[in-house]
Amino acid sequence: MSVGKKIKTTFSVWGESIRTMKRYPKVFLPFGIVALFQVALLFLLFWAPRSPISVVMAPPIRKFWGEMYLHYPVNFLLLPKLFNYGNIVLRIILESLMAGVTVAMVVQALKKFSPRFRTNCKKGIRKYITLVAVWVMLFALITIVFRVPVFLITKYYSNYVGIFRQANFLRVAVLSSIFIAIMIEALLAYTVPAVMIEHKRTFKAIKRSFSVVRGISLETFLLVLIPTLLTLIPVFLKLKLPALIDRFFPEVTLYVIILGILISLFSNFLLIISVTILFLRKTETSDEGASK
Amino acid sequence: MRRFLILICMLFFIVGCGNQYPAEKLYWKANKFSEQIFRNPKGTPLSQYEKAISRFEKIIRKYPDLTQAKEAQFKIAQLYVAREDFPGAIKEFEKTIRNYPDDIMLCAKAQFAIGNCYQQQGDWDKALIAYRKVFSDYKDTPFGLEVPLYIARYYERNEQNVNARKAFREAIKEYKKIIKEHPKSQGAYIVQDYIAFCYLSLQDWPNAIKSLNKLINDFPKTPKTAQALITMGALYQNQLKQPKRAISVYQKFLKDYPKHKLVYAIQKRLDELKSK
Repeated sequence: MSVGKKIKTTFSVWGESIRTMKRYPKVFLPFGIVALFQVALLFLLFWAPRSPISVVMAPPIRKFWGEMYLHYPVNFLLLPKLFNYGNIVLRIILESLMAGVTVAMVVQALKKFSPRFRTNCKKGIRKYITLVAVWVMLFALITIVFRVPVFLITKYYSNYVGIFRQANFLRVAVLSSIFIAIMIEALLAYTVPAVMIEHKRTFKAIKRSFSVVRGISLETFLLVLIPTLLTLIPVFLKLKLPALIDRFFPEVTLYVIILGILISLFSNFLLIISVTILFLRKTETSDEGASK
Repeated sequence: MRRFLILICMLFFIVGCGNQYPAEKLYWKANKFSEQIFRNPKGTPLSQYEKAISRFEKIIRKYPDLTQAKEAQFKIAQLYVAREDFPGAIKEFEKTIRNYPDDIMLCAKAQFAIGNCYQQQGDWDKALIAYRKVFSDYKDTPFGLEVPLYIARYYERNEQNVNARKAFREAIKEYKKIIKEHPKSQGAYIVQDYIAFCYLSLQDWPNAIKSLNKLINDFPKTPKTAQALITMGALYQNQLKQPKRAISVYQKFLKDYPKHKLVYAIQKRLDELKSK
């Protein structure tokens, strides 16, 4: 297939994703629940310096980061970090399950059945350990890809280059890390559909994802690339937070994190629904090919 | 469901009430507003001053027992200084001292600021009384300890040499009294350095060397000791013309503070002395 046709396929998958979302808005529910929990986590951390929540939250913050982070406005500098840590736990426990539930609901929607949240939740819970294992593996790989090059450059390479060249190397390292992370996500994009649709276990699902990607690598890369690039917007804003706080007010941190939650809600959902649709198309065409 | 919602509302109500956080928030916002005034005090209209003052007054009214109330009171006084209403500022600083007598750092700052206000109005006599009150009432604060030196330097800056010399000698006397009462204390550490400075200002080199030596011996390996060694070396080199002693002092500095930022400069001085 030519590059043009592959790009056309990608757009047609997105088109079908949007049509499915419009026809069956219920498919939003699983990731909507994740977003609600994320917002609840954010407000819990936001109220950490105030009683009665400070009774529980203040001692660990005081111990690990210091008293100043329990006071206005310095608490806003710690808030994104705390939210990140809490979000990792939330995503392991909940988002892994909801990704599986979304896949199952999308499959029902594509078969023109009304997607059922509770039924698919039970299906997801039966595969919970596999879904969590897949999520943890993906998270660990992406963390290594982001942290290791930057760590190596700052620890070992900085002695051999000046400050300005080191900054350039870091920039290249970060951009390469983003690219490699997208590649890893693309390679593992079909693990959740393989778990939920073909009932594969962790490593077999990963192997299945690799084999699916082989035939549709460009389409998969594009399906992963666009939502991932969207999630970089709040990352960039978080880097500029001290300047934003100084320019506007400390509460701007909340708005940036909420924007991040909304963007990740949309991008994760778009990613899951589009890879599920492409996965089903690919398996249907290979089934037809096999039967011929 | 209704009970759950009532519980959530009560929780939010409790969260919104009490404790320091809302006071900190209000103080920060008021402070941010007043920063614009302090950046351009002469160009700020009076209405902005009034707004800033009322924001701080709100904090004092709402949270009278918290730290932010004290800081707000002090800020109000500073706003009066910024708009050059010195009588108003003095009144507010006096209010600070009256309302918060337990916070000696704040009271020392306020009393010192009263002296500043009189000084800026050109009334040195009243300023002197205010400054001396800082020293007598708040001797155990950095502001209090600095006052005798501050007075002497004022005279020096205004070329009142006789008064300056008298003030430096008085300062030395007071500082020696403090060291006698509290030897090896933090206060003694600070004033020993001030004594050396006073002798240097009086150009009494032998006594300056003696006091720098005392600082070095009584408080070894402290930040002021490094500077004391450099000053001693310079005195031996330039004023007393004793290069051998200067060399031994510089060598001690290089031995005790090998990572000091002035190591290179002192090494250069040492090399020049040795070559002569």
